[in-house]
Amino acid sequence: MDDQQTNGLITISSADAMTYTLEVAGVGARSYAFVVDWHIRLLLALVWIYLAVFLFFDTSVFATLFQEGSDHTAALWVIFFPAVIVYFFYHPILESVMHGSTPGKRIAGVSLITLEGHVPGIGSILIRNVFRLVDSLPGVYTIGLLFVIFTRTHVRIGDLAAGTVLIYSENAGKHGQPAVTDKALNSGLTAENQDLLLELLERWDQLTKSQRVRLGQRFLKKIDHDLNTDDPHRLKSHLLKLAAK
Amino acid sequence: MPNVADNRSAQQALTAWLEQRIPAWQKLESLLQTRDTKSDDPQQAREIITGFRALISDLSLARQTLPGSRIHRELEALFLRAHQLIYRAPANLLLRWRDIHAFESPALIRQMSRLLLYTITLFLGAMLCGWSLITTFPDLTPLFASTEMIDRVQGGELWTDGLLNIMPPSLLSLSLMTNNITVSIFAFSLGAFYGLGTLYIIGLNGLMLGGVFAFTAQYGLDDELFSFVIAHGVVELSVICIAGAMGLRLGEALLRPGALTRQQAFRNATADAGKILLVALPFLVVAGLIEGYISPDPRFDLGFRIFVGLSSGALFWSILLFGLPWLKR
Repeated sequence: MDDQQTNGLITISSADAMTYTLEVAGVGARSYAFVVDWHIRLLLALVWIYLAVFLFFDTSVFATLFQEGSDHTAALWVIFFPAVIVYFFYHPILESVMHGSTPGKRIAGVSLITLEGHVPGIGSILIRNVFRLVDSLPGVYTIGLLFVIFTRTHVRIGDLAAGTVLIYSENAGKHGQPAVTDKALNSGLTAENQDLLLELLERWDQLTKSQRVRLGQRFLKKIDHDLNTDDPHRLKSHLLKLAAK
Repeated sequence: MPNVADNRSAQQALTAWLEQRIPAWQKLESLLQTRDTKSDDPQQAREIITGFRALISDLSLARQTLPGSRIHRELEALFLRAHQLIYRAPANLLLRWRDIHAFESPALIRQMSRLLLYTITLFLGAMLCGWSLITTFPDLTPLFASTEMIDRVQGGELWTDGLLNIMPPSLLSLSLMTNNITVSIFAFSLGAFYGLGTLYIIGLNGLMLGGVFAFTAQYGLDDELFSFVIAHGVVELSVICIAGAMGLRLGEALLRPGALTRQQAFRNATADAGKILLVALPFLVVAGLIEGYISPDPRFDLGFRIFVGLSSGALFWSILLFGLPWLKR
């Protein structure tokens, strides 16, 4: 097993003598996933605190909970212990159970893999999370952020220690194999031209009217098709037919 | 028009290939999605592996003939999913936990005995420095003790007296465990800064302990402090020293990676150190319970405290050095 790292990409050689390239998640996607996860774990902890108070105690328990001499040991354990566990063990537990993912990572379209391309084991996940203490120094994940910005594979110290990397899982296979092969089967275009056409159609709505006409006509010229029109709607319906006859 | 003819025949070849291979890819994809994770069905496993092998040759072909195309990328994604499933390590956590405790950790700790000795020497040296510093310059006491601690010692009692009146033992244990585990994890993980962070944590803790002992000795309370510390201190300080030694191991891997790259050496050192800490850190829960229930309770005499300290320490070190000898590989 070997891995080659270039800026933003990681090429993994597997035991089956195959190499594959994955796109490494950058600081934006990582931060987005972290912020989503942080809100979820905070919300879960707070929901537990309120539920526990309402279900097992009286709301008046809050008033005397931390007063010196008051004996609320059971209340403190029931209310706060699970909340603390949820808040601090959210990442290691979910990354283990969800095979390197968390709800935040799913939403951000990223997932965790080892440098060998495997789903990280519990040991790697624990090590990665232990190093959060260092990555979060001196506050708001400053060291972690600096490492993510300046390392080639955008990893924090925890990832370096555990041999893990965060990749864009959504980009790999985002179109779905049946849809792609179906289009390839039903299109009269070469694979290269079909890719080009699908890219154009995907970006169609973001283009101006003149850009649509110009790029559409250029594509038709490239494949020796003729359609004399500057109506983008007509052009689009013709291109759609070409994409999957 | 040779180009058009070429394109047409290439397209026909692609269509023929796709028509032949698509059912196999769809079958593999559906197996990956619907497989029963609890099942040990060898037929299902065989089908996945067969599909995966066929996919490898399809992917090679797609790379040569359709590089960068969507079909290539989708096949690569399918390959990745199958590869992750097939090569996933078996999740027998209990067996792994047993192996680490019984066999791996004792072997690793013996390999790292030199670093452990250095760490203990550093800690004891820092303690001596702290002691002599406060004995020579008593005005420096506020560096090691809070104003409240100083006031109480000057008033003739330890800050730990009556601790159970302020906080119940269960909460006290929990807060002490959390604190000790945090210190140990810091001592270990700060080794990522070429070992300097670890040296700082171990040195600081040794200085503080020595300084506080010297300060209480000035008021004749060092015996009481010893009596408070001895029951939980043997295990607690042992774990902190071990965490420190693991931190120095990280620093050594970065400074002297040998034939490996720094990143590989760091990763290997972390994996080894992680196994030892997996064995050592849970003992901080034991130390925390002793510190919450026995250490501050005046009903326990010094003899009992020494017995608890030595027996817990002996249990800790025997597991760490010899593993679980009754278990066979």
